[in-house]
Amino acid sequence: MKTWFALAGVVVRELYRRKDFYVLFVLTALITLLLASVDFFEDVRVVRYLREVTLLLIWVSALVIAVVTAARQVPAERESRTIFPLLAKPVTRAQVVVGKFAGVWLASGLALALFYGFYLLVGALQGAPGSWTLGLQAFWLHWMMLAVVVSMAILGSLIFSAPSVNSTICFIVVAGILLLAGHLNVIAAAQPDPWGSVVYGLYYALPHLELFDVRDLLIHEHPPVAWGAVGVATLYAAVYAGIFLLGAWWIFRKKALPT
Amino acid sequence: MIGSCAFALRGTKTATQAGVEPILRTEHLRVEYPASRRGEPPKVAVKDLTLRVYPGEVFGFLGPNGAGKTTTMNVLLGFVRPTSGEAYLFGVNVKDPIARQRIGYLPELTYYYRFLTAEEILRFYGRLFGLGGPELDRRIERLLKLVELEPARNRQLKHYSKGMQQRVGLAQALINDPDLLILDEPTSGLDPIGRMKVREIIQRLKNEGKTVFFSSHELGEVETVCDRVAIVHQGELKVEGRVDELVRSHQANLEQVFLRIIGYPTSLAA
Amino acid sequence: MNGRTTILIAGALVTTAVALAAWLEPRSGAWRGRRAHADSFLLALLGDGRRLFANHFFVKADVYLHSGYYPSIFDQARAACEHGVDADPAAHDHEAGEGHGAGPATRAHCTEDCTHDEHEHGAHREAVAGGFMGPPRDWIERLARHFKVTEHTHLAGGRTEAEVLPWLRLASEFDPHQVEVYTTAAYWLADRLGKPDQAEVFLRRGLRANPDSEEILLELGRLAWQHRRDAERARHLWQAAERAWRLHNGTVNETNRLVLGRIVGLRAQMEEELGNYEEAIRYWTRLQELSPHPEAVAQRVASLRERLAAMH
Repeated sequence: MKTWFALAGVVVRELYRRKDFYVLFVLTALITLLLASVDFFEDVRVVRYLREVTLLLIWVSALVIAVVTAARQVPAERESRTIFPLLAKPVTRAQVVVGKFAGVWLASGLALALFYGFYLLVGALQGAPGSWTLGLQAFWLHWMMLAVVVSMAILGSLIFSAPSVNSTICFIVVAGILLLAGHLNVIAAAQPDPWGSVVYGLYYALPHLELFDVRDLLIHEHPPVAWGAVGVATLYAAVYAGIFLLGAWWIFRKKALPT
Repeated sequence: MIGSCAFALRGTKTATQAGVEPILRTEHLRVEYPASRRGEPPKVAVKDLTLRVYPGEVFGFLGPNGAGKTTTMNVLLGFVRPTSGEAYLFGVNVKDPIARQRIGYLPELTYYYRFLTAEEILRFYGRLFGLGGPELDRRIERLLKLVELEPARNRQLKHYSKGMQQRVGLAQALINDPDLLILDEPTSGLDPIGRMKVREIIQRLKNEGKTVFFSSHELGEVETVCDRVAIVHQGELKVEGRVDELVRSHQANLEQVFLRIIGYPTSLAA
Repeated sequence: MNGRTTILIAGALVTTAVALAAWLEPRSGAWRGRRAHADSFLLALLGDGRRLFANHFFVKADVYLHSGYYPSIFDQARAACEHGVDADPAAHDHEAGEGHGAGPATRAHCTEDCTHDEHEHGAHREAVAGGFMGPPRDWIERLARHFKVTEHTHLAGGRTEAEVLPWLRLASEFDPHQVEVYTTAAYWLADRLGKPDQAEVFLRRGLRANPDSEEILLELGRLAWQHRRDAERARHLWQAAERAWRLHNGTVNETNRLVLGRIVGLRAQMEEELGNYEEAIRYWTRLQELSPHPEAVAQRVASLRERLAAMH
């Protein structure tokens, strides 16, 4: 427990000592405040478009932070040779994988908490805070989604040698899943066999990240999600994160690391 | 968990030197790397290496570049798996991470997390050994004083010179008060004062009953500090024995013994 | 290479670059097309691709009207397969208004036969089983429904309709030639949000980008009459609208009769309200040829003739 926690602590420190996070946060805040100052047809009551833009910026920023940080972990350790004094300690490779995941996920969660806090603050200042329960659920579900994305990126970092390649592939996969995965069953039904079966297989195999996207509910002030569904989604994320991390450990344990 | 099993090391009974279990042992170790081109045979980095290092001695692991020293160290530290043969630390197979609970390792090229301070690095590595609380604080204080990094303890490593980074490396290798120290070219890149300090630390560790296993090209230093040496060449162990015995039997200094063992004409070296 | 040589080489390179740019610039218009003469930043940046964004933002306004309940392109494709190519997958119009032929709710164009009340559900929530989504096909979809908008509602009351405005404004910025954006925004501004001045300003902006747009002239006329009660101005605008229609269309056919019908219908309504029954009858009679419900129009004409006769 202490080991992966110590590893996670290093990752969190790295994130808040690097400039990326601050740049993204400031950019999000600036764009949001700029848009908040614009009035459309002299109507200051419009808030939903601002929510939409802010949430989109939050999603993009959080994804960038999570993917880039996760994709960088193991390759950076190898390139900077810090992996050697690390593995020379009584640390298993599984602990390294779990520790890196925990660090990136926790760091992403902290960043996310700040972003959502800003979002709720802007909403409150505009006199339209929306449902705090739904806001909390949105944050939680988003964080759970990032667990899947981070574990996917860590697995990718052990398959692809360059972090840039891994990051690009992760972004494309995540964007593809968010846009299309929920519709694959409709596409599959329209395809002749065997392609229909292939697409259906893909539909069931892929992690459905769109489940964790409740932006529409938040923007349009719908009631909160049933807590049972949130629980099931959390479990769903945990299962997929576990699968990816298991794959990452399986690859990492066999990797020779000559100095 | 590894931290809590620090003393639950398994041992095996083997032939011993005066009844003492070797602290480091390899048995017919062989390491092959896949060929770079198809059809070529694999590259053999270490061939049938059987080595013993006993508690309390300073052991020099010598050989020219490409002899297999680094590969052997990589196996001992668990970075690389042997193709065949076994390696043990404190009687525990090196495949088990707990074998590294009581060792300290100083790599040749010392790179640590540039965004951390010296104190944070020592605290991090200490926690990996299951240390914490006042005991860890005490050790960090002592080590920072030992390597003379107290004034710079809160500065991030990216602002450190090479010598300072080397000293951080030494401090992290000692954070768990190891019984076995594995040093890969510990004086590489250091100025004469730095080299002297490293020699002093090695001597102090020896006086405390610790075991030091290190590779070096500085044969003069090896001759001064080491009790026993092993010389490897092209992956094979050529000779293993006490320094004074080797020097006496070859009627030459350690450098000339080394050159003779690896087949370099000593008339040219003179 | 010393410093002076470096400066001389750099200077020569800069001079060459400027000379080449000056020579190339007038010739580049040929291969850069419309972007070369673009007077707007968006046109220069995106070219004709900006229309995609404009369409997206226009649809976004409709999404906002439905509080996020909207079919994706896959749902629309499925609906087209199941119900035919011309079917409107946002099929609430069929359930509510018995085949107005209207598109998404933001297209609030009306003929004299429909009212906004039939189309708009106000604060009522229309509970349709799955709506355009249909029943869930599998457990993943069933779970996903918890995190999506599944209730069909419209923005209504508390001036929430204003939420569609930013998207309409954005759509007009990206494609100033999409006339529907101006007319739709004008409806929401004038009729639902009580801002006829803003509506007029926006329509005039659209008219500057689209001179002789019969739809915009029609809406300006409607504003002039329904909100300012300025009959003379309304007549002028509707006459201009009709002239514009004839300029663009010439003869009446199935696709273009709707707009002309609206021009004539609104004129007829206004004349009737003003008591100019003869004029009203003239325009209602013209409308009989254009309307999909000529019998209803004929009844109205008959009723007006009776009233006119009673007056004399």
